[in-house]
Amino acid sequence: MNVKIEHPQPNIAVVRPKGRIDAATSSQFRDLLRRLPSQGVEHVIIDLRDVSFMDSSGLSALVAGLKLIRRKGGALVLVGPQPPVRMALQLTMLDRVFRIYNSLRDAVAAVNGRHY
Amino acid sequence: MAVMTDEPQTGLAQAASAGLSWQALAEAWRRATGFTAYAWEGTPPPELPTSQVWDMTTRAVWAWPSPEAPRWFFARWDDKGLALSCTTTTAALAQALVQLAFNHEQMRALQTQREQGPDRTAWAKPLSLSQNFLAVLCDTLQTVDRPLLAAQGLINEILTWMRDIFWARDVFVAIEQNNQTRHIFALSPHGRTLARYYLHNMPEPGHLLIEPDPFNEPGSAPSTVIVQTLPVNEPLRGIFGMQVAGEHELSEDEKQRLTMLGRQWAAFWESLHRYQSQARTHRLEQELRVARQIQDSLLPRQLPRGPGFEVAAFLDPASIIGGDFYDVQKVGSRLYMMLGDVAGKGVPAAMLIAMFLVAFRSAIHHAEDALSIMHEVHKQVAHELDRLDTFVTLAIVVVDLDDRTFTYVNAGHTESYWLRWQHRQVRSLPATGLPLGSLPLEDYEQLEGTLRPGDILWLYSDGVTEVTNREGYLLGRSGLLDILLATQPAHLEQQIDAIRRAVALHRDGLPREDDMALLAFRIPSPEVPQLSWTFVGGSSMLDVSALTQQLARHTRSWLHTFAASASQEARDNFLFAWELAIAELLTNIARHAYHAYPGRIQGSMLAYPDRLVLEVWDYGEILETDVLYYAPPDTPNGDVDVESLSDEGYGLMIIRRAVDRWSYRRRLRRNWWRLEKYWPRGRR
Repeated sequence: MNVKIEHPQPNIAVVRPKGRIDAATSSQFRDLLRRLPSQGVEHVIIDLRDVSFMDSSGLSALVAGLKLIRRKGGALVLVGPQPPVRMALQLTMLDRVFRIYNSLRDAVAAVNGRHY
Repeated sequence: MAVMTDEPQTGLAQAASAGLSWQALAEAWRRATGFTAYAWEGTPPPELPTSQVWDMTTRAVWAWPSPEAPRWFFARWDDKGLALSCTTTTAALAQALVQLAFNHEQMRALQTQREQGPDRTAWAKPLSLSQNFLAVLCDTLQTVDRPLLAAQGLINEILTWMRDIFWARDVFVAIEQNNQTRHIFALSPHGRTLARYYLHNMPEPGHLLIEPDPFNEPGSAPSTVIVQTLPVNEPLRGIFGMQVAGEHELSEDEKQRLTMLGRQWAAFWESLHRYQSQARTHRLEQELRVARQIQDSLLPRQLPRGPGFEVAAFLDPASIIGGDFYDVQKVGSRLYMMLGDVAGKGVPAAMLIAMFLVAFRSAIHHAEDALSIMHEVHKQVAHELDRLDTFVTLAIVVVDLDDRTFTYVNAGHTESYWLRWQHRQVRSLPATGLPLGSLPLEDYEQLEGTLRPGDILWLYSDGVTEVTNREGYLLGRSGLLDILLATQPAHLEQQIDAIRRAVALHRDGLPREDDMALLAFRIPSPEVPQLSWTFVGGSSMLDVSALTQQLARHTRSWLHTFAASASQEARDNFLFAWELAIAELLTNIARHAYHAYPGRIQGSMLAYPDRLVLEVWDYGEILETDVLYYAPPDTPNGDVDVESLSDEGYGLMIIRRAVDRWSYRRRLRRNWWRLEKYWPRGRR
C-alpha cells in the first residue's frame, strides 16, 4: 500500500491509498489518519478507488479516523470503494455508517456544503 | 598479472648488459606503455616536482637517487599488471611505494578481479600493496583451479617482494594442517630453519615477537627475527615472519602493517585450505555420483497406479548417496511395499540397497505375505550384511487389493502409521523385530489389519522426524502427525509436499544430516476432497498477508472448476468474502493466539464438489470466548451514534457473515479452525 495526500482546499485532505489495506499495512494507514487534524485538516475524503482489498484492520482505522475527525467538528467521507472493499463494508454494516460518494467532486461538494 | 622484482644492481646490470643505458630503459618503457618515464642519475631532472616524490597522475617510472645514499626505485603499472623494482633503506620509502600503489587510479590490473566484488570502496583504502596482492591471490585461488604447486610460485614471489619492501634478509611463512601436512616457504635455508623453529615455538596469538635471531652464526653480523602467529582456524596453524639485519626496532605503524599482513596470510591459507578440501569432496562426489546412478536405476521410476488404491513416495538423500530406499511393486491383486534404511552411506550402502531391491523383487513372486518376504530377503542378503558388518532396518507391507487386508513386518525400522480416517485416529505400527544383520536369522512377528476407504498407511524414515531446529528441538512424531492428521488431502503428493515444507521450515536453513524417505498408500473414499492445498506459514503480519493472497489465488482458480456455471459476479462475491474471512482468521490467530510473537500457522484448503473448506490450526494460546463472540452492536439504519462505534472487533463479524459455517475448538493444545462456504451456483 502507498498513500497520496492532496489538498483541493487547505482544510480538506484527499487521502488516496493504493493497493491492499490489511494486517500488514493498516497501522501505517491508521497513523496517517491520526496525524491529519494536527496538520490543519478539517475534512477528510478517503478515495478508495485504487484499494484492491481491505480487511477489518483497515476498517478499524477508518472508524478511528471517523471518530477523531467528527470530534473536531469535521467530516470523513469515502469515495468509490471497489467491490472487495464494498463487501467488507457491507459485512460489517459499516456501509450504513460512512457517507460514500461515487466521485471526488461529489465528496468535495458534500463536505463543503455539509449536506452529507 | 605479473609482478617482478629485482635488485637495483641487477636491474642496472641487466640494462647495461643489454647495452641499454638506464635512460634508454626508461625510454623503452615510455614507448611500450605510453607512460611518462624518467630516469636519471645524480641530480633529478628540473622538471620533476621537488615537493613530492610521487606524481599520482602520471604513471611514471622514476629513479630517484640521493646524494647521501644510493636509494632509488622504479615502477611501472598498466592494465596488465605492476612491475616494481626498488631498494629501500628506510621503511618510509617502502610505505611511500605502498601509498603510490594504493592511491593510484591506474592500479586497475590488481583491481580487475575485485571489481565484481561487493565492496569496491574498501579497496581504495590505503592499506598495503602486499596485503592486497594476497587478497587477489585468495580470490584467484577460489575461482581458478590452481593446485598448491602453482600457488607455490606465487608465494615465493610474494615473499621476495616482501623481502625487498621490508629490506629483510629473508621472509618466511609456515603452515601446518591437522598436525600432519606442513608447508614451509622461505627464500633461504636459514629462513626455513627459522620457520620450522617458530612453528614449534609459536608466539602468543596477536603478539608480534621481536627477538635476536636464535640461529645466528657466532661471529657473524647480528640479526633480528620478527614473527607472529597467524590467526587461522583449526585444523590450521601457522606463522609468518622475517629476518632483518642488525638490531631492529619497529615503529607502531610498521607493527600494524605487519599484523595486517599476518591477517592476509591467514586469509590466504584459509582460502587455500577451503579450496583443497572442496576439491577433495568434489572427487568423492564424482565417485558417489556413479553409484547413485546405479541406485537410481533400481528405484521404481513409476509407481503402480490403479483404481482402488493410490501410492505416493518421496526420497531425498542428504548426501549424494543416502542410506534410505523404498520400492513399490504390484503383482496380481497384491501391492508390495518396502521402505528401509541402510546404516552408513556411500558406495557400499548403494550396493547393499541394490541387493535389497533385487531380493525384494524376486521374493514377491513366490511369497504372499510380509513375513515370508522378509525372511526371503533376509536369507538373500544375510551373507553380505555379515561381510560388511552392517545392519539394515526395513518395513514391509503387503496389501491385498481385493479384500483390503494387509500384512506388515518391521525389522527395527521407525514405526509406521495407519490413519483410520473415519475415526480420525492413528494407529502406530511399531517394529516387530530387530534390524536385519543383528542376528543370523531373526523371527519376526507379523501384524495384520483391514483397511477402510480413506485409510492411509504411512511408512517413513527417521530423517523426517529427527530434524533439529535452531533451538535443538526435534520435529518429532507429533510434528509429523500434525500434518498427517490435519486433513484428508486430494492427493497424497500434497501431503508429502506439506511434510517437506514443514521439515524445511523446522530446519530453517540448517543443513540436513539424514536422508528422508516417505511412502504412502491410500484406499480412496468419496469423502476425499477433489483438490487440496496444504500450507505452513509464519505469524508475522507480512506472512499473514502473503498467505491470504496465496489462498485467494488458489480460490480464484478453483472457482473456475467448481463454480463454472455461476455468474462472474457471483464468483467475485464468493472470492471477496472468502478472502476477507481468511484474512480475518489468520490475523486473529497472529494477534490473539500468538500475541504478535512468531509462530506457525498450518492448514489445508480443500475443495469438495459442493463447498470449499479451510482448516487451520495454530499452537498459540487458547482464545477467550469474548474475543470469539464479541461484535459491535448492530447499527440501526438512519441515525448512527458514531461515538458508540467500536474501533475493533469487526474481524469475527466478517468471518461469521462471510462463510456458511465456521467452527473453533481447542484440542491437543492447539486451536483448530474450520471455515466452510458453498460454491456459488448458476441459474438452471
